Parts: sequence; C-alpha cells; structure tokens
Amino acid sequence: MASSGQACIEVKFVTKSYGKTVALDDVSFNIPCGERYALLGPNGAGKSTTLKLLVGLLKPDTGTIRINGYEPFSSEAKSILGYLPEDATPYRTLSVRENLEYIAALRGVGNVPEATERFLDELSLREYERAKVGKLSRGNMQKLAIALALIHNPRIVLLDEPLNYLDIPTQERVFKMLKSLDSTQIVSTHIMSIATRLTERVIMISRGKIVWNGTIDTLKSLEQGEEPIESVVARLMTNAG
Amino acid sequence: MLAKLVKFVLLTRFSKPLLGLVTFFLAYDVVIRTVTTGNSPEFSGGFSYYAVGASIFFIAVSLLFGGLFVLKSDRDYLLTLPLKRRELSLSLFTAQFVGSGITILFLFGFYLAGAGTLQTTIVLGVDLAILAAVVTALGVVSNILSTRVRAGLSVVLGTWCLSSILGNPFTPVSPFTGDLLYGSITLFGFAAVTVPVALRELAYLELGSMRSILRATSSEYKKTMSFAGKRPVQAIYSYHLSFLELVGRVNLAGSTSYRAARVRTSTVLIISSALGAIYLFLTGLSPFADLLSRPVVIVLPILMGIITLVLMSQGTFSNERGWLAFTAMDPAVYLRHLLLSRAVSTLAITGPFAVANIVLAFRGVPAAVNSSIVLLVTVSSASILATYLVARLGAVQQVKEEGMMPGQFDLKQLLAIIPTYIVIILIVVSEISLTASIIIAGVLGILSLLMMLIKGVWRGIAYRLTERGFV
Repeated sequence: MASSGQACIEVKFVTKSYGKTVALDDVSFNIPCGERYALLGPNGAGKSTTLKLLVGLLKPDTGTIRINGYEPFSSEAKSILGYLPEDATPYRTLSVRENLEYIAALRGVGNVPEATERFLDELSLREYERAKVGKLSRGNMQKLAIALALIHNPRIVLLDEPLNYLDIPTQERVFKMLKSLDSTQIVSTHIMSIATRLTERVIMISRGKIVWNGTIDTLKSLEQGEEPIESVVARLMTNAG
Repeated sequence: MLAKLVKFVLLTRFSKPLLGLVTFFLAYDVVIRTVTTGNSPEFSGGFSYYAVGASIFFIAVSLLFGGLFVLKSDRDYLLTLPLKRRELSLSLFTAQFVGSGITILFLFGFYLAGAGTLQTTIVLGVDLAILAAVVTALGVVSNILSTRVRAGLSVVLGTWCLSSILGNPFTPVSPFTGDLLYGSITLFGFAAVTVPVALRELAYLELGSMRSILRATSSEYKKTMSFAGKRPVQAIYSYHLSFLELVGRVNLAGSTSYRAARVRTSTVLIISSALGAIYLFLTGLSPFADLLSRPVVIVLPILMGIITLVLMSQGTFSNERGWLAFTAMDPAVYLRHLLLSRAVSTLAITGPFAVANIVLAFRGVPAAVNSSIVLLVTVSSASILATYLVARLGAVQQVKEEGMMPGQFDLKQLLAIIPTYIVIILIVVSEISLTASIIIAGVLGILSLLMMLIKGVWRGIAYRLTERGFV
C-alpha cells in the first residue's frame, strides 16, 4: 500500500484513440497519495478519457497506468477508487435508497444500512429515498451520483464536474464533504473557482497532451496585472494549441 | 417548407444508410410483388393465421409499448419554433411511419402476391399502407392513454381481429383473409378515426404526449428492495429476480419507445400463469381445441421468443451503468451474473406456457413437446447470445432520459434485428422436428454457457460500451 508522498496514481506514456481520433497522446504524470489535483482543459481535450482510463473503464492503446501499484481494472484498484462521471445517471428503475444499497452491496461495503443512512442525511436525500430515480430532478440525481461514488469510502476519488446542477447550499455541503475526505482526488472541471477551492495543484490538458502541471499558487503567479486566473488558464491553453 | 421539414425530421432520426436500405427493400418488395402477382393465392390456411396473428401482435404492441420518435433536441428547439402545426405533425408522423409502420409493409408484403388481379393487388397494396398507418397512429395515441386503457383496447382490438378467423368480414385484417371489400372498408374506417387523432397529438406534442410521458407514473415505489446484508453476486440476483426490467428501445413490431420501468417478477408470473391456463384451455380442452392447437402451439414460441429476445438484447444494457457496476467489480463477473439472472427471470414469462405445453404433450399434441423445449432452453440460450451480439455490434443505446430517442437510429441497430430472425428460423425448425429441437436447444445452450464462461468476451463488451458513450 502506498503512503503519503508515494505516487498513488502513475500514468506513463499513455496513448488512447477512438478510431482515427487521438484522445490522449503520450501522456505521463504522477499523483502522490493524499494530493488533490484539478484536471483542466478545453472541451474535447481528453479529460474525461483520462478519468475513464484511470478507473479502468477504458484500456490504453499504449503505456501503463497504476493505481496504488495495481492495474486499474484489478479488484484491488476498484476497491479503492471512487468515480463520478460528468452527467452521471444512476439506475433509473431503482429508488434512491435501492441505488445506494445496491452499489454498497456490489462494492462489498461492510455495513450497508449505516452507509446508506449517512448519505441520505448528508446530501439531504432522505425525503426522496423511495423515489424512482428516473423521476428525480437533475440536481437530486447529481446528489445521489455523488453519494454512489463515495459510498465505499474510497481512498482515491475521481470526479468529473461534480458540482454540475447543484444549488448553492448543496454545492457548499459537497465542498465541505470533499474537503473532509482523507483521499487522493482528481477533479475535472471547467470552473476555476471549483478548482481553486477543492484542489492545490493543476494538470492542464489540451488536444490530448499535458500542457501545464503545477500548483494553483504558481498558476496565480502568472497573472498579469488585474488579469483573472481564468484568463491565465485560457492563455496557457491557447498558447499550447 | 413541408418537404424541407420532413427531410430534416427524417435525417435527424435516421441515418442515411438506414434510410437507403429501407428504400431499397421497399422498392425491391414492390417490384417482386408486381412481378409475382397472381401466381399463388395466399388467403387461406397458414397465411390467414399469420395475417391475423401478426396484426394482433402489431396492434397490441403498438398500443402497449408505443412511443415517439422524438429527440431531446426536439423538445428544446424544434417544438419551440414557429412552425405550422400541420406541417410539424405530418413530418413527425412520416418519421413515425418510417420507424415503425414500414415494418408492416415488409412483413405483410407477400400478401400482394396472392391478390390475383391488378385491381385487387392495388387495393391490397393500399390496405397494407393503411394498416401500417393505423399501427403507427396507435403507437402515437398510446402515449396519452393510461396503461389500463391501453391494455383494454389491446384486448378489444385483438378480439376484433381474431373474429376474422371465425368468418367476420368486418375487421381491419379481413382484407388479408379474403374479405377484400368489407375488410378494406372497415380498415379505412378504422384509419379515419385513429390517424387524425395521432396527427393532432403530434401537432401539439409539447402540450399532450410529452407532458403525459412525464406524468405517466407516480414518482415513488410502494414496495422497494433491500440489498442490506447481501454479497455482491447475491445483490445482482436479488435485483433481477425480483423485477423484470423494461428498459431501452422497446422495438417490438417496429414500435419505438424509450422507457425504463420495472414489474415485479411475481406479478408477471401470476399473469403469465393465468394466460398459460387460458392457453391450455383453448388449445387442449375447449371445443375449439382441434382448430386452435396446431397453429397456436407453433406460433406461441415465436412470439415468446421475440419478446424474450427484445427484453434481453435491448433491455440488458440500456439501463446498465458502467460507472457504477464495472467500477465496483470485474465487468466479466458482473455481466455473467446479470445475464444469467435476467435469463432466469424471463422464465416468469415463458415458464407457465412451457408447463402448459408439457400438459398438452401428455394430451397428445406432439408439437407441444418441441414447444416446451424451445420455451425452456432455446429461447433463454438464444437471448444470451443475442444480447452479446447486439452489444458487440454496438447496436444498443443507453437510456438516459425516458420518452426520447437517445440518438439517431442507424443501420447497425437495424442489422441487430437479424439475430432475432435467425432465432425465429431455429424455432420454426424446432417446431417441425423433435430431434432438431433437441439438437438446436443443446447447441445454443452449450454455446451460451461457453460464452458466459469466457471472461475476455465480457470485459471486451464493457470496454466497447464505454467507447460508445455508455457511462
């Protein structure tokens, strides 16, 4: 088991294509255990593909990925990974509680009722526990999706636009929840305020390549005059493209 | 403007290769029918049963599972545009017709060959088009009807059509059983009622059907499942043996409905047991037993096979969530148990009929033995193979929002129907010979079992689904 300081996520020379479209091109990076990274990049840069590769939903064409030293599709890696895709939809024919219990059971969570109750309360889903997921509002569906990604208390958390569709009070609750987790985190987002509040470091991807890797503080230091941080990010992405 | 709108609506719903293939087959059909006109009268015996059985099937399925060829972007853009309602309605009806009604033309087309003269050929051709329009219209109208009304109407219309076998000339299917004049008049009258209602619904879609889709069911479950204390594999079986899921493009008989619903397996078992008892009575004990037993015993496994294949091949993956299931455990293990549990749960539909057939076999109906083997082994095994094939071809779409097409309907999805027809052929062969039915059941059983055991096959499917946008 890797400890703080060691790389929990290792990506070496990874390439992934969809047909003739190259999504990731010879990408390498390491994320030490306990660190929180933001994954930034324009639309179609390869952020979601990166997360899908890390979680073992896709296989790289070339290169290697290790999660705590294990292959991403191994059961060891699966047990410590928590993943939330963009626009996640849980099982539509199950109720909120059934979704939580089903995924907790699939993941072999020790005390399923306790884990379920905790998330029903923490994310204010209690009043919808018997509701069909297909009938939920998009915001409540996102809250449930966050709960499902975290129900097994994962040590590595990969989140793609986690605050989409959430109202401001819920966003604050999710901020607190994620900050309180003792885990390695990668948050893919387009919104800089989310990146700066949730993470300390940034990996910037453009056209399938890493174009910048460093701390949020370093990124802020690149601001010119009154330039907002979003403009710095846009400049770095544009220059790289 | 109408032509442009029709073109836009068609191309946003169907890929060009798909439309090309449909046009080719339709043209081929017309040419072949014209050339062979008058060669063989086909209004009696098996062809009559086929016409009546298939019509009842199409009408019932359209009513029960009817859906709309509507995209999410229609709701957000097309329906908000200042278009003439008449043109919008005609365009959407054309799309519905291409997507569902046209299946009728393919499957009934050969009746034209039996028409005899050119005049009757033309009348029958028009009748076919009208029947297709009626089925299309019923699929649209069903969206504003409650489940009970849809089920009730299916029974009423089904009985009406069935009465043509007993000599009633005034049914919508009578043109295809020999009563061309009265049948055509009845069919036209039926269309005159249903098509305008469907056109009106499509003209005011955002006010009618789409709203009814959203409010169609209550938002809470009265009875829920609990997975507490269950091991991972137990949880999968508990889920899928408790409920039969109907998710995805319900494309029975060409109808298209993107739904996500579940029915308790015990409820399905009770209903199918009751139907199985009626089936047993009609084919083995009633005064009509001699008349009905042979055709019904043969047709039943075909219908059951189609229902099971669609339930499995379309429904298995449409509601699957890779980000949850495939990241929680090995996709190969998950999918293996998922398929097995779903195959077992479909026995709730076919099982009672298989038992009824065993009783019929003891009462001296030889075809019933074959039918039982088909229902218990062939259909279940074939459905596992078909599920693999459909996923491998990439012909399945993930349902993320109900009531709307998740994307364009393309050629691959049409080609995915081919395994269904192969299975139907195998079922028909099984019905003819007991030896063949045992061999086919054995081969399909072993093949499906072997396929389930190969982990690489299902891991490959998981990767493929993810690459095709399943999350």
